[in-house]
Amino acid sequence: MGNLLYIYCITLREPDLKNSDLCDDIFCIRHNDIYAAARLVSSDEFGETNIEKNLCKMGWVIPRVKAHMNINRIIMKNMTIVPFKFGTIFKTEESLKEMIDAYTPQLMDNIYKLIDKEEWAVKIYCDMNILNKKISETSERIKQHDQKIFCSGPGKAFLLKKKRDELIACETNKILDDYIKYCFDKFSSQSHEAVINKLFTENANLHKNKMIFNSSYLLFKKNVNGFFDTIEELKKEYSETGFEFEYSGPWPPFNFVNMTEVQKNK
Amino acid sequence: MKNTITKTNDINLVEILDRVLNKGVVLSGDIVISVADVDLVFIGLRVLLSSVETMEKLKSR
Repeated sequence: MGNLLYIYCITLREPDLKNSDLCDDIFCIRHNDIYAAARLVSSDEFGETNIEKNLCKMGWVIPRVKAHMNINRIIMKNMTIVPFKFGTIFKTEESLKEMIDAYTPQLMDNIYKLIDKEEWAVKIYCDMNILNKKISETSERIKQHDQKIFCSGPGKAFLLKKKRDELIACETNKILDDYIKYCFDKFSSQSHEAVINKLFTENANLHKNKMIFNSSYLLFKKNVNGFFDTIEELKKEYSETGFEFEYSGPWPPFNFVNMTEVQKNK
Repeated sequence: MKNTITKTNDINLVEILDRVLNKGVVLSGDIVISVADVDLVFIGLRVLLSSVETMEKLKSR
């Protein structure tokens, strides 16, 4: 038990926290008809100087980050939530209430926007060997280039073969851009909001193939099944290009919270 | 399909870290981790993933 207030999310109703061990020591603070799901944490862990040190220890970070996600997921099963970033801490209940006072209209706007909606993620990975092979078989530019190689003497053919790799890379990038735009347009047209996220770095990408697209969608719950159908259609459409579609959700709507910070008077 | 995070229920840790550390409501609490702090986590994660990768390679030999 500690003396700092760690905030997970806010809601418009009191969350039911009885049915999960994870939520044993979570409680709600109500202010301006907004409920904040909170836990008391110790300054040894989350105090200004200690949190920075602890963030360097993955053994400390991972279970707490997972708990942050899981508590948000448990609460969102029964109601709309506005999730907070990991490590948002208030020293007193009064200080939390001051924040709610300052941001009530924005918090309410976010909650109302998120009602009856779910966040889903779609990533596309690509086996570049398959895509490159496909391009070298189907691209008119490559075919014309191959014809040039065939008709050239050994010296010129050697140089043209080198240029062929550059040409394939160029064609690949162009085709990837076109395909990704096409997929994003299809998905976005069924979404309330859509965002393109940064691609994971090679170290963070646990998939065997290269990540070529990372996106999130805010969908009306009634449209989720139609969204899955679109993914399945695109999977078929791109089955020979080396594309692999991966979707996950429903996530707490971390990607669709918009807040503009008001300057705080300390 | 509902109430599952992925088709295979395989929750990707990186995906969770990315959402929880980089997104959501970012307001001035009395303490809130900064962007620089988040970078520290991702550096730590890279080290961790690299060591997991190394262990897997060693195991497969």
